Amino acid sequence: MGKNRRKDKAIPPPQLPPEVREEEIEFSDEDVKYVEENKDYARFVSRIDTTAINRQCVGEAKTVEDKYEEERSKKKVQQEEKESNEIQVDPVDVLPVKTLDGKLHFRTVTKKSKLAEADPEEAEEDVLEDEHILNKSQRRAKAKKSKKEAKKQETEVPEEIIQEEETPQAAVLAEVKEELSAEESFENKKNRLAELGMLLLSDPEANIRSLKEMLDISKDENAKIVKLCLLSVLAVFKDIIPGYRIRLPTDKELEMKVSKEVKKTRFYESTLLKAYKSYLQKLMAFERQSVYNQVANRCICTLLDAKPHFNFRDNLLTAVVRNISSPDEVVRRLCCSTIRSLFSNEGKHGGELTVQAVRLIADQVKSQNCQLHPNSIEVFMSIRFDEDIGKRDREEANKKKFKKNDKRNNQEEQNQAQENERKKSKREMMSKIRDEVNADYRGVTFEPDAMERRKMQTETLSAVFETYFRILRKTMFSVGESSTEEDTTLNPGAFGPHPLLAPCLDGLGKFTQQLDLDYIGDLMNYLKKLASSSSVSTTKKKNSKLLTVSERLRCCLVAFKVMRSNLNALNVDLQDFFVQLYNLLLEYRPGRDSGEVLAESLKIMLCDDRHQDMQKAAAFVKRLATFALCFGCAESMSALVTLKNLLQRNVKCRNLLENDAGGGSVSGSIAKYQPYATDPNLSGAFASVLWELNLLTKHYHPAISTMAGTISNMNTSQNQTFLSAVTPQQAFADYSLLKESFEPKSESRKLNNKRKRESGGEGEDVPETDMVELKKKLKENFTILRGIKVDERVRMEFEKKKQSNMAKKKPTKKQSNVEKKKPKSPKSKKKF
Amino acid sequence: FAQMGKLGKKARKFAKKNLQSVEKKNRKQKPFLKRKFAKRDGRRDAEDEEEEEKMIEQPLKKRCIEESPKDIVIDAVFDKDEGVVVLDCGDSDSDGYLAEVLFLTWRFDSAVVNGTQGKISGTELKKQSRKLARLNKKKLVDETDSDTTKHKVLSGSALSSFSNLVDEEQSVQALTSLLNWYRAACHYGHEPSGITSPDTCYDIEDSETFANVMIFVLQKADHTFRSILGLSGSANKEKVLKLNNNNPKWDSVKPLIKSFFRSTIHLVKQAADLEITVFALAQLRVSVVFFAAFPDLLNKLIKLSVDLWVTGEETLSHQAFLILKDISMVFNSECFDACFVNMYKAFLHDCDIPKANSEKRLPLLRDSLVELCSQDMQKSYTKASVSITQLAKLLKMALATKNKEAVEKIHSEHYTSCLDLWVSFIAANVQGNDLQSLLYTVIQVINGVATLFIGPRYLLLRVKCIQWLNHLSRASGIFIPIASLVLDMLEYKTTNDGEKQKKKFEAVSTVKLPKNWLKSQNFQEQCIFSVIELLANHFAQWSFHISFPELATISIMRLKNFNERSTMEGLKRVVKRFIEQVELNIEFVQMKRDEAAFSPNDQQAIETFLQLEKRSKTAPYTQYYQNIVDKGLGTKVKK
Repeated sequence: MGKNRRKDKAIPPPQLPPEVREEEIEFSDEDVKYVEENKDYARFVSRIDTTAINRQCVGEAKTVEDKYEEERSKKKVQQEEKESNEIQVDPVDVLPVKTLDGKLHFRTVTKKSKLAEADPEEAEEDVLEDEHILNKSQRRAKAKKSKKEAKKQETEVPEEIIQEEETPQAAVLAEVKEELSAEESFENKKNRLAELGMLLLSDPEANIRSLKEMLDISKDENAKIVKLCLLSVLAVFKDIIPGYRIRLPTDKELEMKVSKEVKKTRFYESTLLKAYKSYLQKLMAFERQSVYNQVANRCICTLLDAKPHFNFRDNLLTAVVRNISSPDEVVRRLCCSTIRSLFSNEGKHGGELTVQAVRLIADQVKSQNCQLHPNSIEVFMSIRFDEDIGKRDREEANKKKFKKNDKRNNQEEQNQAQENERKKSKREMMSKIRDEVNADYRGVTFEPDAMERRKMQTETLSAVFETYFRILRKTMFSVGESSTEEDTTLNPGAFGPHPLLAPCLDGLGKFTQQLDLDYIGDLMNYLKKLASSSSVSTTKKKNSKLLTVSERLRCCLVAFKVMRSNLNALNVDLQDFFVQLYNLLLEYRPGRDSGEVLAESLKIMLCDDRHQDMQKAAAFVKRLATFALCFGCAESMSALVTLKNLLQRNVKCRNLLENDAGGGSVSGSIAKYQPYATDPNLSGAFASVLWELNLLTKHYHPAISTMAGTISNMNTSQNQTFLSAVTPQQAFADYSLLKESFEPKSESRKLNNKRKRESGGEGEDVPETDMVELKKKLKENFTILRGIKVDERVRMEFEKKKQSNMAKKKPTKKQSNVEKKKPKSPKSKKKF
Repeated sequence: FAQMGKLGKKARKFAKKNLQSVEKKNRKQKPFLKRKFAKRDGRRDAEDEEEEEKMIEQPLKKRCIEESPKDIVIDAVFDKDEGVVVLDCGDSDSDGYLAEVLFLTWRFDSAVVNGTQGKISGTELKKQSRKLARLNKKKLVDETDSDTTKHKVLSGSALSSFSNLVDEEQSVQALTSLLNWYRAACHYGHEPSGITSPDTCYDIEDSETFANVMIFVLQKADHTFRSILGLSGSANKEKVLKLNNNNPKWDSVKPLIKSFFRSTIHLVKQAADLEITVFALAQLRVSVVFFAAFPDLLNKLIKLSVDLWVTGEETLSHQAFLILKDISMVFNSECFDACFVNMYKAFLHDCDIPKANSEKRLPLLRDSLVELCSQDMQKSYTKASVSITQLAKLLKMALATKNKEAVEKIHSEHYTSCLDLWVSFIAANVQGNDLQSLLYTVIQVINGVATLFIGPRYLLLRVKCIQWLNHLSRASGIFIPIASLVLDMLEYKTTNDGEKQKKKFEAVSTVKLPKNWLKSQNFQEQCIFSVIELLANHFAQWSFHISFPELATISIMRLKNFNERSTMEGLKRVVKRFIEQVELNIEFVQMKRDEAAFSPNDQQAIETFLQLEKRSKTAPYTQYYQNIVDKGLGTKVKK
C-alpha cells in the first residue's frame, strides 16, 4: 500500500499542487463565496487544510477532474484580476491548463521545485526513511487529527491558516468536517486498531509500545470503538502474553549489570505488564457500566480462561465470581463457563485458582444468604477431586493433613511408602542451587508438588462442603421455622424459595466419596428431615418454603448415594427414604417435577438396591404399576422398567402376576391390599394382582404395550437371572416427548374406502323445499329486481336526455336507442 | 385472450360492433384455448403433487431446528395445487363469460326465431348458428330503430305451452327457448345495464311467470336432458363421457346443458334468498354428472360450493357440501383433491375469524370435511399424514427451542382446528382402517401440546386436548392415560396466586383466557367441573375393565386431597359425589374380580370380563356418567 502511494505521488503532483499552493496563501472573499457555491470544492478545501497535501491532490484530481478544470479556469480569471502580488500564482495558473491540453511533463517538473516548498522535506524524508515507520506516522496523521503530534509542520500550518484567515468560513468548514469525519474517523480508527494489532502480533517485542496507543483508543466516546478496542486488545494480549508469570526485577537486580538482551526483555516485560495492568483497570471500570458490561465481562472471562497463570489473575477471578450470579444471562453463562473451565483445566494454573474460586463462591453464598442463581453452585460439579494426588510424594505430611481421610487412604499409602522413599533420597541428592532455583521457580510455575496440591484440594473440598452445608442448614431452617416472620424477611428473590438446594444436592450426590465420615450422620439426619417435609401433609397451605417433590426426591437420592459410596459403613436406616419414595410416587406431577430425578431415584433406590425386603418390593411393584396407568409415556416406561427389574430379582413378587386366590402363602400380615397406604410394608401388596398390566397392553404407545405384555408373561417359577440393560433413566429419556420423532410411519396399510355409497340414504338428509314458499320468494325476488331495473332505466333515460340536450348533435344510433327504450318504460311503469 | 380481458368495456363494445371478424376468431379459439389450459393445469397438478411430496420429505430428514417456524405452514400445506385451481377459476371467469353468453344467446335467439317457424331442424341449427348469429345481430342493430318486435316478453300462456312441449315431446326447440327464458330470469336485474346486448329483448311478463319458469326449468331440466339423451336415472360419469363421441343427440343437448349450468350457477351466486339458493343447488346436484363435459364450469361450481359451504347458513352449507361430496365421488381424484384442498383451506381460514355462531358451525364444517375425507381413504391418508407431520414439526420445534413464534403458532385457532379435524377424521375411520401410525402420532402431538402449555390460562386448550384424547381412545379402544393431565387442573386454583405473574404471553387468543378471569370463582368452578367431566369420561370408558380400581386410585387420592383443602362447599359436593360414585364402581369391580379365576395374562378372559354388565347400561356408574354428560357440566359454561 504504502509503496504504491509513494509511486503515485511521484508522477501526478505536477498538475495539481500549484493550485493548492495558491489557495493556501490567499483565501479571499471570492474564495469564501466560491466554497459556498461549490460544496464539492469545499470538501476539497477542507481536506487540503487538514491533511497531507500531496495525497489530497492526487485523489481529487483523479475523482473530480472535470470540475476541477472548470473551477480552475474561473478562478484564474478572478485571480488574475485581483491578485497580482502573488508571484507564484500566475505561472502556476498557467501551467495546469497547458498540462491538461498536452501532457507536458517537463514543464510541470520544473514547477515542482516551486511547489516543493510546502512539502518537500517530508517527501524526501519519506523516501529515505524506513517505509514501515513512515506508513505509520503518515496514517496516524491522517487518522488522528486530534492528537496533533507535531512532528509534521505542514499539517499544522494549514490549520492555523484556516483559523486565522477564515474565521467566517470556519463554522461551515467545521460542520462539513464533522460530518465527514464522523464516518471517516470511525473507519480510520478501526483500521488503526487493526494495523496496530497486526503489528503487535507480528512482532510484539519491537512494537510493544503501540499497546499503549491501542489502549488510548478506548478513551473514545464512541461506544462501538471502545468495544472494538477492548476486544482487539484482548486478542493481542491473548496472543502475546507469555507462558510464565512476569516478575518485575527487584531494585537489587536492577542494579546489576546485565546484557543488552536482558535489558530488552526486561523492558518488554515491564511495558507489557504495565499495559496489561492498565487494561485490566479499564476493564474493571467498564464492567460497572451497563453499556460495556457484557463486553468487559467477555474480555475478563476470556483472559482468565486463556491465561490463568498470568499476573493479576486474582483480580480477574474476583470479577468473574462477582458476576457469577448476574441477572444478565449472557454474562452469567460466560462467568460460569469460565469457572468451569478453570476447574476442569487445572493444569493451566496448578489448581490455585480452583481453591480461590471456590473460596470466593463460598463467601458469596454466605454473604448473599444463599439467594443466588443455581448456576453459581452448579459450577462445583466440574471440580475434579483426584484421589491419587501425590501418590508418589505422599509422606508423613499426608497423615497430618488428611487425618480424616486416613481410613480410606492408609492402605494406599503403605503401598506407596517404598517408592516415596526412593524419591526422597533422589531429591536430597539434588544440588543446593537446584533447590534454590526450584524454590524460585515454584513461584511462577504451575506444577506445585503433590503436597501443595493435596493441601489445595483439601481447602477446596472444605470450601465446597461448607457451602453445601450452609445451604442445607439454611433450607432446614426455613422449612422448619417457616413461620410468617421468616416469610417476610427472607422473601425469595428472583430465584425461587430454595434456589441453591437442587444443585447443592446434586453436588453432594456427586462428591459423596469425598465426604467426611464424621459428617455423614448429620447429613443423613438433615436429608431425612428435608425429604419428609411434605408439602401436602402440612397444615400451612401456602407455604412456598416447602420443598418440591423433586427436591425431596433428590434428598432421598443423595442419602442413598452417600450410603452406597461409603460401603454402607454406617448403620443408618434407609427405610424412611423408601417410605418417602413410596409416597412421592403419588405426589409426582409431570409438568412441575423433574422426571429425570424420579427416574434416577427409581434406578438408585430400587434397581440398585441389593437386599430388598420382599414386602417392600411387592409394595413398590404394585405402586409402580398403578403409577404407570396415570402418567405419560416416559414416566410409565421408566416405572415399568423398574417394575420389571424388581420382578426379575424377586421371585416371590411374581406371584402378583397370578391371580392366586387369597394371596397364596406369602400374603403377609395384611390380608387386603391398601392402595392408599403410606408405608410400603403395610400396604399388603401381596394380596393384590397386577391387573394394571392388562390395561397397559392396550396402551397407545406400542413400546409400553409390548413391555406390559412381556412383564405379564414372565414366568413365575424359574429364576430369571439376566436383568434388562435398560435403566429407568434411559427409558425416561428415550420416551420423553422431546425425543419423539413425530413421524407417521408410512408402511403398507389397509385402508377401506367408504365408497360404498348409501345412495338410497342420501336424499333423506336433504330438507324438502316448500314449493309454495319457494314460489312466493321467487315472485318477491322478481318484484324487487324489476323495481330496481325500472329505476335504473328511468335514471338512464333521464341522463341520456340530458346529454342529448346538451350536445345537440348526436349520432342517430344513440337516438334510436333512446327511442327504442321509450316505449318500454311507460309499460313497466304502468305495471306498478 | 388475456389482453382482451384487460380492455375496457367500451373497447369491447366497439369491438363487438365493428370488428366482428375478430370476435368470431375469438369465439373459435376460445374453447380450444381453454381446453389446452385445462389440460396443462391438470398435468401441473399432478406434478405439483409429486413435487410437494418430495419437498415435504426433505425437510423431515433435516433437523427441525434449522427451520424457522415461519416455514411450517398449517393451512398452506396443499397450497401449490390449490393455487392453480383457484387461478384457473379466475381465468375462466374473466372475459370469456360474456362473449360466450352472447354467443349462446344469439344462437338461441335465432333458434327461437327459426324454431317457432319450424323450418330449421336442431342439427342444422348448430352449423348455421354462428353465421346466423352474426346476421341476426346485424339485423338486430339495423332493425332496432324501427322494429321492436324482437323484444320478447314471456307471458304465462307461452310458458305453459312451452313447458307442455318439453314435458310431453321433449322438444329441443321448446327447451331451448325455455332455457333462454330461464337464463333471462336468472340474470334478471343482474345484467350490466350499460350493455345493449341482444338479450335485453327477453323480458318476463310478471312475477308468476318468473317463478314458474324458474321452478319448471330447475325441476325438469335434468329429467329432460336425460330423456332426450336416453339415459337412465342413474347414469354414471363414464356413460356421460361416452356420449361425447359423435352422438348427434349429445351435440344438440350439450349447449343446452351448458346454458342451464351457467344460468343456475349464476342464479346461485346472485340469489339473495336462502331457499332459492338451496333449491337451485339441490336441483343442480341431481345433474352433477353432466359437469364431466365442462371442466371449467366444474371448477367454478367447486369454488362456488366451497364458498357457500363455509359461509352459508346450515341448510345451504349442507347442500353445498352434498354437491362437493357428489363431485368428489363422481369425478376423478383430481376433483377430490380440488374439493378437499379448497374446503380444507376455507375451513382453516374460517377458523381464524371468530364469529358469533362459530361454536356451532365449526363442528359441522369439520364433520362434513371428515365425511368427505372418508370417501377416499387412500388420498386422505396421505393428506392427513402430510398435515399432521407439519403440525408435529411445529410442535417439536416449540418443545425443543421454546421458540416464541412457534409457540404462538401452536396456540392459534389454526393449529387447534387442524388438529381437531384430523382427530375427528381418525376417530371416524380408525375402525376398519389401519391408521395406527397416524393415531399414534396424533396422540403424541396432543400430548405435546398439552404439556407445552402449562398454567391456568390455557385451561380451555388443555380441556380440548383431553377431550381429543378421550375421543380417540373411545373410537379406537386403546388406552390413553389422561389422569395426570386432568389432575394438573386441580392445582390451578391453589397455584394461580403465586404463578400468575409468570405468564408472559400477552396475545389475546380464544385458546387462552384473559388473566382477570383466573381469580373469579367461576373459573375455579370451571376447572373442577372440567376435571370431573373429563375424568368421568375417561373412567366411563374403562369402568368395566378389570383394572379399573387401580386406574382410579391416584385420581381419587388427589381429589380427596383437593376436597380436604378446598373451601368452596359447592365444588366439594360435586367432587365428593364423583368420588363416591367412582368408589362404588371400584368396589363393584373389585368384588367381581375377586371371583375371577384367571390371571392378568389371560387376555381372552379379561376381554369378556363384565361385558354383560357393560352392555346393560344400568350400572350405577354408567348412569352417573350419563347424567354428567347430559348436564354438560364442563362444556356448557364457557364464559
